[in-house]
Amino acid sequence: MEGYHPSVDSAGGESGIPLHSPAMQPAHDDTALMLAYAGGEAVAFERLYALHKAGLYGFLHRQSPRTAWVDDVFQETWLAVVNARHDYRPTASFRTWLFGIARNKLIDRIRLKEPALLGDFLNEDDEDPLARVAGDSRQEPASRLEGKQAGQALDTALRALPAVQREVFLLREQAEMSLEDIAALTGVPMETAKSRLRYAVAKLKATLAGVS
Amino acid sequence: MKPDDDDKALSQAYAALEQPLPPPALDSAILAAARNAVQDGAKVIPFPARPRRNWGVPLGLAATVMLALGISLQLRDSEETRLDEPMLAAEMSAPVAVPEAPAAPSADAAVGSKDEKKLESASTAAAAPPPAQEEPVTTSVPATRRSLAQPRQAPPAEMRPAMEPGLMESAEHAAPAALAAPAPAPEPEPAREAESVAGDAMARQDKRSPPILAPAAPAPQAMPAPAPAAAKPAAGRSQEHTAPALRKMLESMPPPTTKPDATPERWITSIRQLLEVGKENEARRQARLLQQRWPDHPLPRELRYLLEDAAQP
Repeated sequence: MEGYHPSVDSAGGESGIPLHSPAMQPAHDDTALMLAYAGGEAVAFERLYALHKAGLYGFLHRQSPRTAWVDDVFQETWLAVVNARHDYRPTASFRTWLFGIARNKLIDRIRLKEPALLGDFLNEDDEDPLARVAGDSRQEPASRLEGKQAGQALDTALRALPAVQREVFLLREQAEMSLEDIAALTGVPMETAKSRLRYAVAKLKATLAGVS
Repeated sequence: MKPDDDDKALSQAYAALEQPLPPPALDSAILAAARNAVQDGAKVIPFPARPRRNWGVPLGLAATVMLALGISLQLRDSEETRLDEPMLAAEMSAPVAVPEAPAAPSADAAVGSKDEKKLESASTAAAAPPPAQEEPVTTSVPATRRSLAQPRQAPPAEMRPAMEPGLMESAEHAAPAALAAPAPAPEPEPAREAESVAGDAMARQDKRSPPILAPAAPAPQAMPAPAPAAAKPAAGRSQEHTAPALRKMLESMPPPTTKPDATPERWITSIRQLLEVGKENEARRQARLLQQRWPDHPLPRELRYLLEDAAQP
């Protein structure tokens, strides 16, 4: 069984960054649906899929170094869920489990197809000059971040982030995971995950401030 | 890290980004796989069919077609070769009258213009289409293969020096035409006419040069055609007064291939043995045969009287 099973589903906890969770479902609902599917109810899976497909696909779409891999990794992730339905234990949130599977599938694909990129997804890259620059510009007013141009700049800046920082940011924003879960999922200490998130947010803010 | 307005604004900006969604076909495939897994109870489910480039099947089909095509072509070629071999063998062993055509022109060229007209008709008759029973063999063999089989019609090596230069030249010229002609059939009337012409030519040639007889050249085993071609002129001379004697001599002579020890030296030795036992007549006969059989081989001086005495009467 791949993926990580955190003992606590702390989505929406006190990570410092407000969560964007329009379609957020209670963890117990996901768990109940997954258990129902493991019991043979196909409709439960359809409900789970409808709840999480956009978040998972968006995460893979922005985190994958190759767009062509997104569909394959997305499909492999969900098929892994289907095949592991009998092994699922409600000790972890379904969302964390699902994204953990997706992350592992993506790293496997990178290791298989382009091993040279693997270091960017595993190594720490916290102390780069850009991080300090981004940190200096944290005081830019967020009200300037608007318009289509800002959206394109944000997307470009997001892709320009180091993979580990982008991953933390995406897990936070896209999967609505807590820092604790992110740290557990990525296998780094809590402070490292927090630092990565801070650097990522700072760079993105600097980019958006420059655009405006 | 405490949430502030900037972080909230960044989250809103990210939420405002275009959120990609999986294609509907992928949705359907995943949901179908999930349903099938529940219905079938299978743990490992097959990958759902998705539109992707799969070159394995077309490449496999193409490779199979190419392989089958190559094998069939190889088989067809070998089958043609196998079918042609018996035809060629049949043509080579068939006692057709082909050699008559080159023999007649070669003799005719030395005779003169009077016989040339007869020979033209003879060669025309030789080039006439074969009868129906031989048609499959002669017409199915390609021209190149037929020309390959033709060199057996060339005169034996022993006969060439005996020919006159003019005869040789005319024969060389007549040979390609005869080679180009299709294998003639045993046409009764024209062939007989050609035989008579050739016989006349041989009779005239006998007066100017040593006799050239059929057994002079040991014919190769695989090419029996020249033997009847050389025997025909002898048969054509039946009207001459020397014909019976020659025929008798031919009949009495053993085939060269059946007596491998029939060399001139051995022959001379046997003649000497005949003289020693007092069979002089037989020795004379053998000396004449030896002279006819090996015209280029000189008879020992002490035995030449056998030929002189025989020539006097």
